[in-house]
Amino acid sequence: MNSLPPNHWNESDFAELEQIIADAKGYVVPSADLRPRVIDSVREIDVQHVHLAKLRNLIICAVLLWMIVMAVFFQLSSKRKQFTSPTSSEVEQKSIEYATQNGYSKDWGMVDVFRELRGGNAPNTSP
Amino acid sequence: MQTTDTNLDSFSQQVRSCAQRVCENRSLAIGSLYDLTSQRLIRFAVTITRSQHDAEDALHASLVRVSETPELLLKAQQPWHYLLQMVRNDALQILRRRKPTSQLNPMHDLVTDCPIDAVALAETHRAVWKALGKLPSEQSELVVLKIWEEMTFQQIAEVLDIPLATASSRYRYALEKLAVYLRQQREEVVYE
Repeated sequence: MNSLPPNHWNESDFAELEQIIADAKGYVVPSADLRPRVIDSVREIDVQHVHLAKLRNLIICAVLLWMIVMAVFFQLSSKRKQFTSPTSSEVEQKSIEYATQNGYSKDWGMVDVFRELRGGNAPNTSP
Repeated sequence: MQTTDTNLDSFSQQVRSCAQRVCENRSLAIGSLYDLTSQRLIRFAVTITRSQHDAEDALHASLVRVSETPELLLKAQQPWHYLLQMVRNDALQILRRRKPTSQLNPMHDLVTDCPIDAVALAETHRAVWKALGKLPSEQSELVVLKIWEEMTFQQIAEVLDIPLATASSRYRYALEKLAVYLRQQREEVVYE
């Protein structure tokens, strides 16, 4: 401890003290395992970021898919009547209506109902 | 605030260049930033935490944060000063979380670089570090920045966010106390 400051400390000794302190700057060093620890942590974060990016892409794909499916579903729902056939009781009911309106039998009314369902405008084919 | 490189000191330029590389390849480039700054950051952090372990935790946290957002360093006016501030903030956070009892024996766990042929010199260095450990951290960090980082009081005031006059007077006061502590230690050695 020979280089430590003298007992009678005065203004001019500050430079010496500063030099003593400056000389001690390399005394403390990081421990040997700190560097690998830092690099490992950064690598872990890299891996987490990759996983997060994958998860984010997956979520975006799922949302897009859901939106497409919902759009198709609503589109089909709006045209549902075009694709649904009448029930037997509805056919029966309509054939009776045709028969009553046009004055022919219920069988001919049934024929007109099916013709209409095939795309015709239910022309009067009754005898 | 982005500045031109002409306003940067050379070490800040090196830090910025490392940060640029971290932007390009995080895990590969963080090693070079560590190699460039760790020695200087650890001694700064130790003077705040008074513990090697806590200082390393602070340094670890700061460097990991830099790896996540290297843009912080790239955009900083003085990247090196910004990095010092990051480490200081992390060290202070660790200090706040630490149990009061762990401060009973400051600077007890230092990892030192002491060649065998320089044992006598290391004794003086140890005395300096012990004396620094007795100072309040707001004084010891100032001594570190002024003497080891060779900063001006203006730069220190910016890094520590204190008035210029406070930085100057606090430094003066710290040196006076250090002188007393070092003298006391010398007397203890003589009596032993």
